[in-house]
Amino acid sequence: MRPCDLRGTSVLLSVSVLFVQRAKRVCDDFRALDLRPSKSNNMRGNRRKTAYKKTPVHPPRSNKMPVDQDWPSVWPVARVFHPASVPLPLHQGWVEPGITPPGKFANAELMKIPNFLHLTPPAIQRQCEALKKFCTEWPKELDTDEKIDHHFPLQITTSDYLHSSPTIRDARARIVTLQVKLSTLNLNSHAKDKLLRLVKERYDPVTDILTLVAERCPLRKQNIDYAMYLLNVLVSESWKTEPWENEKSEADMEKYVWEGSQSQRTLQQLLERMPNKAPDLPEVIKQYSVNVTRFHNEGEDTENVNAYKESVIKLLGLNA
Amino acid sequence: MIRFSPTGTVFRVWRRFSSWSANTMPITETITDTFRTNELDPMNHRKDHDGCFYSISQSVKKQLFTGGGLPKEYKELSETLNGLSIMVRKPAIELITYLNKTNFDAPVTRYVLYGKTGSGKSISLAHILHYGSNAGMVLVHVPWVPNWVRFPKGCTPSVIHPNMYDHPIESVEWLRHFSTQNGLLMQKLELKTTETYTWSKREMTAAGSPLSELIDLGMNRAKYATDCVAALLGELKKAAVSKRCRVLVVIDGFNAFFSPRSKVQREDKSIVLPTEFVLTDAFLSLTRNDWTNGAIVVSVDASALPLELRESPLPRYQLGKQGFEHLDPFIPIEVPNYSEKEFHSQIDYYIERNWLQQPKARTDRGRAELSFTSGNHPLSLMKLVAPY
Repeated sequence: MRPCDLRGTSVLLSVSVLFVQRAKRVCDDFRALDLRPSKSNNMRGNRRKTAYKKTPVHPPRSNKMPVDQDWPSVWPVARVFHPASVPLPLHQGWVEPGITPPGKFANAELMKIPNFLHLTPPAIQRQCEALKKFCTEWPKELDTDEKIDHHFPLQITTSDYLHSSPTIRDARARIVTLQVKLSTLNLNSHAKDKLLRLVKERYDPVTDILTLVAERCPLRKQNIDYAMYLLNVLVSESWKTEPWENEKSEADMEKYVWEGSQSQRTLQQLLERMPNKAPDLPEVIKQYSVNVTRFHNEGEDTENVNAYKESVIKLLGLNA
Repeated sequence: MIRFSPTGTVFRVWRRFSSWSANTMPITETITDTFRTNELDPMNHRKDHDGCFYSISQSVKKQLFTGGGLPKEYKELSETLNGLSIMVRKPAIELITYLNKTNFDAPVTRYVLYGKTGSGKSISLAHILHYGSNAGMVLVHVPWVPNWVRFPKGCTPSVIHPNMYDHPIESVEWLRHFSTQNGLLMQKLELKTTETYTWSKREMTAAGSPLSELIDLGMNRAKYATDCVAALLGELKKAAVSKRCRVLVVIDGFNAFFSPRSKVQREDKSIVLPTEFVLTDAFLSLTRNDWTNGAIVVSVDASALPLELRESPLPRYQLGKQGFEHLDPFIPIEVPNYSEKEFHSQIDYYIERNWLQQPKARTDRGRAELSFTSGNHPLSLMKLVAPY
């Protein structure tokens, strides 16, 4: 049998059942047949109206909080702001003067910002107290930053990540940052120059700190080893002088150096042909070289030009 | 209280259309005759002539500045004001002091004038040119180098030097300029060539012939003019070293020789660098300090360089690395804006020439306003007081 036929029989069936029921009622108190039943009698309509009971909304918890409650146990860890748990009339953002600030309820702005309700001073104090038994005493000799830097030039920074999740591992915990002051490596000018070329932007000239970040190995220990290895290789490579390094010309210099420059050569040629030289020649030449170097390294300004002029005048003996 | 008084408005309008306020202000004309000096010889100019004008005679003007040397506006103004006068200013005095003090047995000293455009470098060079002429020096004067770099009238590949470029028309002009400036002096000095120059199969200049022959050949044969200039400069150098003459090299807009490009293009549209000109080569060789008995005064100016290289007027920036190394060690001399004394002297000069006729400009207040508006900048002041 095809499905449409089946549906047809079922309709027929239900109509016949209805008829039998109505006939029964007619027998009891002789009631009239009503072909259009009222809405309350409609079975289908009644079925659609499922029993729905509203859960009662309790008043906010904060109303019942005692004034001397233990706040760190109410708000123990970092979480999104909840208005019913915080007994404070908070709002977020700038409010025009004279206008009532918005309440803390149904205020999404308060939920967007991070809060520090779990880091109240008593909470921090309590955590410190709890951690104290794991700490050792600070060595008395290391009382200044200079001493610390001198005895412990290497600084290794790692991060531990604690959160509630199925695993205690966090991939970010493997990252190791090694920092060292370049002056503690005792490099000469060549080695320092080479090291800076090798490390590029990892060196901060303002603080003189070299920063190496190792994160290529899966474990922290491996990354620490790798960072130490890198430092070793960098320093030993810097101390080497390769044969091609002699080919460094003036254009490759990072700073103008007067010794061996074109300026020095022309000055020597000039001095050879000068008939009467200035009496304090070495000093004058030194001053001249300083001024030319300043000219190139510090950029040109009126002061530099005048200093250069003074030194040239002395050099050429025109100041008499 | 009356807030909007109609009388005030009426009074203001009335004042605008009447000369009442001008009449009430007493005009105290402060023209003195101290802005001129009778010392017409630049060799005697000292510190006490600072800020004074001295006039240059018509014949000297004709001799020195016919082929250029004065900025166009200044030259036109001097013709309008009926006489060329130059203010004796600090940079020129300083330079003259140095030149008087110079030991001419030592390698030549290079002086570089620098300063903002329009602060008077070219006029100071004109002053020095007059000094050199009076001191009996052979003048090698290039009025404005960018003319060769930026607007050459015809640049041709050199016949003698491969990959180099000649300026035939400019070279002829320059040779003419040289001979007008030094014609009489050259006749007196009777300089001779030291080597034989062969120009072509038939044309040659034998060793021992006078330099005027070389100049004439260049002026008549534009094809060889550029090489004649180079030869002439070489001969002058040798003559100076052998103490037969004293040479003063004056080059305006020297930094154009080191400009990163010129307007000259090759056949394949690639740009010819100024260092590829034969003239550049010749003048750079003259400005080296490998000779004696002379002096070199050059000026560097922002307007001699392309537009993007005009940030600073200071010499190292203007010359670039190459130019700095070429001239090093040189004496930089700043040509500043007018000092107060110079400014008043300039205003007095304009008033005396009846160029500044506005009566209010003659008062102290007017002067203060002019000083403020022009910022004591010579060229700005010149444009400000011009009636057009």
